[in-house]
Amino acid sequence: MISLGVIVVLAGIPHVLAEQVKSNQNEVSPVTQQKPLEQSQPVKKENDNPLFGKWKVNYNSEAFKGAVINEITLDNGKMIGITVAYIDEYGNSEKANDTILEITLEKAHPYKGIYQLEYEGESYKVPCKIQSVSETQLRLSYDYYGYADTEIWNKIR
Amino acid sequence: MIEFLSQELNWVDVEYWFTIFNDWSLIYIIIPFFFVELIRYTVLKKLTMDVIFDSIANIISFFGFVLIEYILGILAITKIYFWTYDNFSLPHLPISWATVICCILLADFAYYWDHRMMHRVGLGWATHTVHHSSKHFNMSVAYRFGPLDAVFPILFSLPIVMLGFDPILVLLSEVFVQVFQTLLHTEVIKKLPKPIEYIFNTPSHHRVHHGSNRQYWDKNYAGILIIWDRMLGTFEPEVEKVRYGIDKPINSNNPIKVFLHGLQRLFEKVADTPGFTNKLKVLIMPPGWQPKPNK
Repeated sequence: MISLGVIVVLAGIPHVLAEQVKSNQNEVSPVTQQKPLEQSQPVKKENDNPLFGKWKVNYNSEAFKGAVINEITLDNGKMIGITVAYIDEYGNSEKANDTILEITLEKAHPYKGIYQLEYEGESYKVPCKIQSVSETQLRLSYDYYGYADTEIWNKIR
Repeated sequence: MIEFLSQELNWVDVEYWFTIFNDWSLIYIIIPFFFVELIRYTVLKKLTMDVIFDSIANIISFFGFVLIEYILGILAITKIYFWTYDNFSLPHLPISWATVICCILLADFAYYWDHRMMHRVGLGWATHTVHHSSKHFNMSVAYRFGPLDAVFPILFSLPIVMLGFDPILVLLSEVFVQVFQTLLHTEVIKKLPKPIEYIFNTPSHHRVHHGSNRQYWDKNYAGILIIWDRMLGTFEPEVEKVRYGIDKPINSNNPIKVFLHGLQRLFEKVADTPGFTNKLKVLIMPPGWQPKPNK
């Protein structure tokens, strides 16, 4: 009984708090409520997969400091990722339309795909795994002949 | 406070802090502390060849354990954990302070029960006896693992995954508990201030756990919090000087013998036990269990 109580309390606290955050987010004013609906409507119509939408990835490497905005969408029935904007470390942004990800296995978990990398001017297509961490975060990881990295993609609401 | 606890965290930051505590602690605390212990042994004129060979056997057994852990890790973490997380889990929890703290506490509680089971189930003790078979007590003993020590924790961490916690977070929390436990394997620190001794597992409490004195058997299973033992009736304070080791010493520093002696003894006991049901009971009953003699 004591053990069950401990488990209920320790598992219950984060669930209750997560629910509270969710309900707080739903209780926003009608003006702010309109925005996410407008953004997500076309995607939701196609598919309810939480991967769909815009994601921000921060980079702090010698090659690139700043962030990239990617969008996961449907293209002829295939899930793909497109870089839609680059933001440098000073906040200057530049629009783009580069396909960088193709999700090959949509039902497996973690998802599997091909990620396009730029390294020293060369372009590489690398097998990758995409793991949904939460509704607002996903983890994209790859290991290509010993060159391994994990990127955290944060959802843009 | 509630806002702070429910504030969503960046995975990169969470993994960064776990790396600092879990991975790098070997460099900045465990190895330096082990050298302090060696100096202490030298000053007390207790640095014998037995201590050195025992420590070497501990490290070698650790490599055996890591090898099995890796093989299991590939299987368990990438397959079973994520499959469970996707199919048999409560709603997935966002990564917040509340999630991380509760996950560590749950991992600690799971560690308590896993540890208790390892002591009270024949098969569990066959692997865990390796850890207890050293006659010494220092940081290297923390790395003295048995061949199945990586298997049993899976049974206790899967339910945490089922409660909606991210499998990677569960794994990192388990390692965190293990690293905390590692730091308790020392005779250098005597007793800490009372409030700490009351709430946390300390070197003193863990020395008791490693004692072969009869009153110290099967006590103080805790990982981080000793309150689990206090709540569940398995707490014992350090009073009498602790004699380390097991009731039937192995008297060997041969790493292979150290690593496999528990399983070997279990197989011998199973072979010597008459009847299929009794053989099965040897695996699941407490280590000292014997079938009732026929009248």
